[in-house]
Amino acid sequence: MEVQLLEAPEPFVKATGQEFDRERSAFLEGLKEIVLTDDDPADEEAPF
Amino acid sequence: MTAFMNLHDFLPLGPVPEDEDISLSPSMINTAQVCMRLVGYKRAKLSSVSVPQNLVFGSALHWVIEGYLKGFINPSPEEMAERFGQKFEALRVGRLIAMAKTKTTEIQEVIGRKLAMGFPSYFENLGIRPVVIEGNFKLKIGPREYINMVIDFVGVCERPIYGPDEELLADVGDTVILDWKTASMSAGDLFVQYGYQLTYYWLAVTLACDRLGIKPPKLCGYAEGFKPNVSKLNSTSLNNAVWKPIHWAKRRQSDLDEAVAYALVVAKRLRAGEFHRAPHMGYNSPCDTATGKCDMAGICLDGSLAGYKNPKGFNLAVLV
Repeated sequence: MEVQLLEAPEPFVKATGQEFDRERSAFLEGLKEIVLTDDDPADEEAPF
Repeated sequence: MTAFMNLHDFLPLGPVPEDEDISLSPSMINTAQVCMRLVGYKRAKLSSVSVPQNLVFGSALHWVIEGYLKGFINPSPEEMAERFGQKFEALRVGRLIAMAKTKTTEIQEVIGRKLAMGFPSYFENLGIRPVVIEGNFKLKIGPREYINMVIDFVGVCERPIYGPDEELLADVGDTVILDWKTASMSAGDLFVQYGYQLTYYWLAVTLACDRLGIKPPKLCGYAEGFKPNVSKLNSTSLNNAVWKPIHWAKRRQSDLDEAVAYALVVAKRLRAGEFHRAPHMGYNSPCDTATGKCDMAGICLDGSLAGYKNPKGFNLAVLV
């Protein structure tokens, strides 16, 4: 079967004004959880 | 007291029902190229008890890079280094950390700070406008088979990219795909040119380019931050913790076709519950058969457990 794209992100557009401030705060305060998984290893030295 | 057990008695290594979805990742497929038994361990999440320090390192560095690219973190060297240090610490707190074989936590932090400091100028020199930063993609490759991936970076060239012989590799407006890697060993020419990870990325970006408003990919590669092997904080070799020039590569349609076909093979083996070695393995494959750490040691070539007895059992402490 043909490979289908089911999900893709929106193109990155830098927010401005208050929206940017909100996004920046959320990012720096760690509201976006970082999932530590070796499914997509950030470091190829990482053991299995 | 030390507990001994036969892994096969409790690992979820049975078949997957036909009506159940199978989701793969490029990393899992990469593991399957080494040994399906390792995939079995991964699915069993035997490694979830402790977090490898290298994984914490890589996650913290990815976070700083993402923050910089999105404009959330000031590109000054001091700010980048400080943010790395904070995130590296925050990700370690409360976790059982499996230490890296060659580097202490302090050494890792110094290396991470140096790589974080150097990233903004390294990236500026590339002349690439970000289009996707840490973006989730999902491909459907079969009736119930999927590949999920997070692509570190997709961008559009704002300046031409030239090869080592001054040849034009990509022009202004062309699309490139990058993956951030940190290691003491280079990814290697073969892996860059033919590794499936970038191939799946290439396929995903090719399918998404209209939606993203960009051209189909022209180049892909690994942006590699070098982690020198040092044991002392005052070692001058720490100055070698720098970002290396990108070794650019391409992918062809036949590469994409092969990568998808192989992913379907891995999915079939998962569905059938076949966690034995695959026929493409060589006698000196980097698996744990020879070390005796693998519970299938010695019988993996036929994948049959008939008559199999594990005379020694395995030490749980060894496995986790």
